[in-house]
Amino acid sequence: MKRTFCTFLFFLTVACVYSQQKTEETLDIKDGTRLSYLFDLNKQKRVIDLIMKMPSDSLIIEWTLRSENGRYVILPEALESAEGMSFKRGEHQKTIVLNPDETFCMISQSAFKDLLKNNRFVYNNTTYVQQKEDDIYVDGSPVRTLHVKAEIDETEMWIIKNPRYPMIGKMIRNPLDINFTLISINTD
Amino acid sequence: MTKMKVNNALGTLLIVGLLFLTHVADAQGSHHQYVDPMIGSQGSGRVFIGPSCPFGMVKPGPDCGTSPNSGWLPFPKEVTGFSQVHVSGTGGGPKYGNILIMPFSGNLGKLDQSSVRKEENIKLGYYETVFEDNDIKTEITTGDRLSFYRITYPENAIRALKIDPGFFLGEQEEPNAREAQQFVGSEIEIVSETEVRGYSRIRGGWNNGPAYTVYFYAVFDQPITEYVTWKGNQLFPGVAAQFDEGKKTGTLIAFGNGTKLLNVKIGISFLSSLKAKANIDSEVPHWNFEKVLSSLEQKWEALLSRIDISPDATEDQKKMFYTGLYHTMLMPVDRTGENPLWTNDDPYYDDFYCIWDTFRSSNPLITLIAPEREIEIINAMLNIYQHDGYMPEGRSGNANGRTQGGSNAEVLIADAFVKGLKGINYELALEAMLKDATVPPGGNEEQEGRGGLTEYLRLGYVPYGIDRAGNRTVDYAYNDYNIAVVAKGLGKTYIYEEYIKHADNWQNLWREDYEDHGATGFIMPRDASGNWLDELVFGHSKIQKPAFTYTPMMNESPWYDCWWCVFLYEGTSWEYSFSIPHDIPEVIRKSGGKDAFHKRLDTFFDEGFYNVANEPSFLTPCLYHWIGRPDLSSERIYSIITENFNASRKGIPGNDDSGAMSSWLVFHMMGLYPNAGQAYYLLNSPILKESAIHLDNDKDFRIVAKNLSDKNRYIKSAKLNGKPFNQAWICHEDVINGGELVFEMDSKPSDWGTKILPPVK
Repeated sequence: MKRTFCTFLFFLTVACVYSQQKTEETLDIKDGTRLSYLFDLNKQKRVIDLIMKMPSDSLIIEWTLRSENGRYVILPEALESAEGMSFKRGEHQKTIVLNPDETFCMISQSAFKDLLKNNRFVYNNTTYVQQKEDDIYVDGSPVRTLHVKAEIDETEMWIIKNPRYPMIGKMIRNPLDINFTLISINTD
Repeated sequence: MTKMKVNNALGTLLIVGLLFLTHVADAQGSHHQYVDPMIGSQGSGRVFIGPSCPFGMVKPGPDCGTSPNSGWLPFPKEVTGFSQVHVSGTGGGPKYGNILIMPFSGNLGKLDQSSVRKEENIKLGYYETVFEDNDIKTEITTGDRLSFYRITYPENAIRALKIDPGFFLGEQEEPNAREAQQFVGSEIEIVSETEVRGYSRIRGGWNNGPAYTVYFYAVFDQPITEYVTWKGNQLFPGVAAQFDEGKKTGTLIAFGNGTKLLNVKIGISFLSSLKAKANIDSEVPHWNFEKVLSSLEQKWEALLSRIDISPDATEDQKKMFYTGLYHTMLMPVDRTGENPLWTNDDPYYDDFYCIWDTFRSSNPLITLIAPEREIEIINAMLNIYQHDGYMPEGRSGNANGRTQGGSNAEVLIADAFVKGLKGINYELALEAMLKDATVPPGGNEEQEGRGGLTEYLRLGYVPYGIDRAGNRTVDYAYNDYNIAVVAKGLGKTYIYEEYIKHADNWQNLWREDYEDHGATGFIMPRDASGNWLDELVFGHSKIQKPAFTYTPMMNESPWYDCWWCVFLYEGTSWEYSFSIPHDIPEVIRKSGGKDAFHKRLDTFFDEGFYNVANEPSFLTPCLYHWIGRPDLSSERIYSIITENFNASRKGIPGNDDSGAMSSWLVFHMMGLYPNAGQAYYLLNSPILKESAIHLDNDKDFRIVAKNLSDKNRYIKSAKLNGKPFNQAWICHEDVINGGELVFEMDSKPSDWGTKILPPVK
């Protein structure tokens, strides 16, 4: 009986670890990963291509919009524990180093942990409450996300289940009228 | 000089002039052959490529899906069909695309008959394409109020035609999307074996207007042998009519497989389908396609031949010039007798799209070559004022809307007034201008009049927070100057004195000490308390108040603001800070004087702050004139033209905007450029060696650039009617009095035109 229970426990543990790994690896974001977003900017649609660069502990996001390009730098401390997202417009051929408490197109790792643990997190002074786990479809393939909704302003986000780089897969009803949807991923 | 000698000299001059004109006319043959409707069809130009009469109400042409503003897209995009009403060169949301027809072959069981083109042949007044999958050839020409199709089917094919009054351009999934056209209703009826009638009722579009209705009456030269009508997605074989109940309707009709040819005339009306039929009967009662085409060509020839250019101009120069003239006269459209809103005999024009675009160069060009049209256009605007309450800034689908900046009808009236156009009730015009300047439009401030007027009158500027506060202030100040000019001319001194002060209101947004890229002083945002604003809050969050730093180089749309909500519409502060057409000397003074202004202009062009693709900077290349350096204006203009305009499909650098871009080019090719609303033209090195304007008073004004070449691009000296002419501007009166302006060109700048600067307010 004891052996049977241990065997059950072993398989349960393996299943849990596998399950967690599977979730965490839903979208593998690494140096060179290319993400294309369809931005809805005050009712005008623009495709913005992002290339993720990880030269050190920072995250550099290189963006291209039509003939313009530039970079955002997210500092290590921001990746870890930022409390808000920047909606600053990129400037052509310029590098914008975000404040230590700001991310771009993603939330911080600590905020994501809060979300997993408490089903809620605070960002940009707003409490986001988890609605459900959800898939968004990118290039026809499902990507696991956590769907959250802001208590004030009612912004909704679909946050990709990647604890290291919890990118936003989709954002709607942003009162700043800057919304976006991930439309393609290239991890080659 | 004795009287005889004078007579001899005049006689010689007359003979030389006649010889020149005869020579030019003979050498050119027909002018319309140089019109290439494809110039500006790709890239940003968005011109309409199908046939159209001058200012023609009906503009039939291909529609490749519902997204392109003028219908057409290049290969390999499929053609959905051919609709009968279009606009030319517009940005923003599409308008029209009504009453679509599509020839096909086969059974009457399928609504989508889109086809791929295998060839296309386009010239003035004529469009032809052959479809790849069914070998059907479609040829189109047009009258003013009807379109004419000649369709050739393959041997033994079942000749079929789709008529779809439910189709329109700019359809979007989102209900009530801004600037999207939206379906309201349609109706169709097979009237007889050779007649089909119905209508299309659509609302929205670029000007967010109410519903308009396009009625049609189609007649065929052969009998219908079979038909199916549809409503929604349901087909009704043999049912002859579908009434309007808010669903899309249409018909598929067959003509059997007799002869290969099918001729179709489609009368169009904004009043009724019977009026559409009457338009066919009165304009083209016959079935002669070539005769309709020939008539159209003659109408254009009569207008295009009002300017002759030197026979040795290059083929591309001829194409660019005459196509530019052609584009200028596509819009607004003459719908006299087709006004569904009120009845009178006055001219009625629609599709002012919009005057913010056209006042700078299109309308002054029409004034110069076809003043009778400009008089009609202005009288139509006054007629609209009398019935709708405001003159249009933009108007389409029989409804005013929308404004982009000023109430620029004022510029058109002032321009007509100072240039002495007769047949306009200027007392009424001044009343209409004052309505714009004194009575807030209320409600939807994008529709007409002056949005933010209450604040403008109270503060002397439109404060930040009201859409387009910056350019509204700048434009209103110029419009107030226009009012002052007309009031003064009419002897209304008290009105003049009030509005000449308002003309300085642009200075209330001029931030004296602001520096950017070495320039000082810019039009900048200011709140209602008078504070200058560096950081502008964006969004409408209840708790977040993020801000961005506003700079003179910035266009905050679309990231931070919607395109109609910005501080300066379709431009930056660098551009608008030059856009003070009535008071350049004051801009020079505020910029730090002549040298500082010179440097400022150089920075503007050299650093790429100049935007060739839009209208706010149309006058700016000429501003060197006001510091006594017309040679530098000419240099900039030469570079702008050679780098951005050409005779290709991508030969227009921005939306042509009802011919605005094209008319800018035409003026500069001749060496003239108007400061709209003021009675003079700035003179620059012409691109053409010779041009002759045949004026409506039977006089001719000839511009000659002697020794002009790629190397000799600078004006060394000038003579007007044989006398030295040392100023780089010329009064309109001198032009319409006829005569000859001769430039002597040289390879280096001279001091010509440096002393007598252009007029000041």
